[in-house]
Amino acid sequence: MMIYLMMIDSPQDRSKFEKLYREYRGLMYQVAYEILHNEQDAEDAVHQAFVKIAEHIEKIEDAICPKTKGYVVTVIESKSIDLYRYKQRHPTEELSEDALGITIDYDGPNILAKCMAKLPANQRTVLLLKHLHGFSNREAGKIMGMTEANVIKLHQRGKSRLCALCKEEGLL
Amino acid sequence: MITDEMIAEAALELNAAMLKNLPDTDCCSHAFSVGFEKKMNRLIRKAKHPRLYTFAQRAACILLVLILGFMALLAVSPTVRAGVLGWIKEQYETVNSYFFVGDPSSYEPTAYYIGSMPEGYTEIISNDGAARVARIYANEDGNWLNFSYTTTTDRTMYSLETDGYHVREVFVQGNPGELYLSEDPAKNNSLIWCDEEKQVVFCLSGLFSREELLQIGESVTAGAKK
Repeated sequence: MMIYLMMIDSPQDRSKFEKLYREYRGLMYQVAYEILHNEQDAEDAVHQAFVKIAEHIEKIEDAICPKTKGYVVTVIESKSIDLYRYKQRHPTEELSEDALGITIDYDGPNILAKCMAKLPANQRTVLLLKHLHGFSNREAGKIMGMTEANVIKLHQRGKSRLCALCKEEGLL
Repeated sequence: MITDEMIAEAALELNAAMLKNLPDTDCCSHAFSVGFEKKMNRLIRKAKHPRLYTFAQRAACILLVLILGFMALLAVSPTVRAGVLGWIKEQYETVNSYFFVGDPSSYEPTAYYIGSMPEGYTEIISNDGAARVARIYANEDGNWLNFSYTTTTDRTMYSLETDGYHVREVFVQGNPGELYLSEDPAKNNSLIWCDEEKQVVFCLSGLFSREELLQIGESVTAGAKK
């Protein structure tokens, strides 16, 4: 039985995660450190992010590609923000509110993309996970550490905020 | 009205902009802590065999439930106890567990000692517990010899690590046993055997060769300390 189970594990999936880890761990650490400003916390966030990535490894087609790079950055950003919030509830050191989320400078022609860049990080994350990476509400909830119902609410709030920003930009 | 297609298209552009703002992966090196590397190595092993680990977790839960059920049955049913007297070996991943169930009506508590103590070893710790007696001997180099044996017939257990060990079946004083020989010469070898007639499980471990451990095991005697 054990031999059979070992055989049905895809060899591609087996090496994919390791390849992904070797390629992106430094970048993920850097993104986490930008948010958390603490080495230990940044490593914890990277580990938590990889746990979530491992749980959905079948969703990744190619370990080394721009889409996957965007996905791992989205996950590490989400995990770093989670840890940041947790640290705020259990403060051991000062953390700046400005540090929340990564800054995206979009200078392209797509107004909707420009507005999405202005969204709060968690709303942007849920939109990226669902609309770019193809995750269901349940899967996105697992990655972001929230219930499916909260993902739906967050998604709705993100879309509403996006509509408001688009109106400000004269798109709607 | 913003459609899902519009959001998907914008998300793609936003992703590209986000990547443009990030440094190349080659430029992001960091010396991760040992603790982090250990955690990640465990995760990589799990990720390599996701179904295997899921199966192993389920199997461990089922095994635990079965063992607990079996133990409960042993506690309440004399018939079951009579049917399963002896020692039972359970293998799980990197650990071998030995359970012993005896017949209390015919058990006589006895003290055991090593008859042929290796040269230079003296007793430094002796602990007579409720279920097990443990004696530790040490030499001038700080090497230890651990000797223990069971003192109850009621669900006693030994667990021995198998990862990094070669396990060999042996006989000690005519009784079945197993020898654990470490691949690392700096780690202890162990010898475990069960005397079903006396209803005792013995265990020896230390930096000794196969022959030395068997010789020490053969010398274990009842009653008289030498």
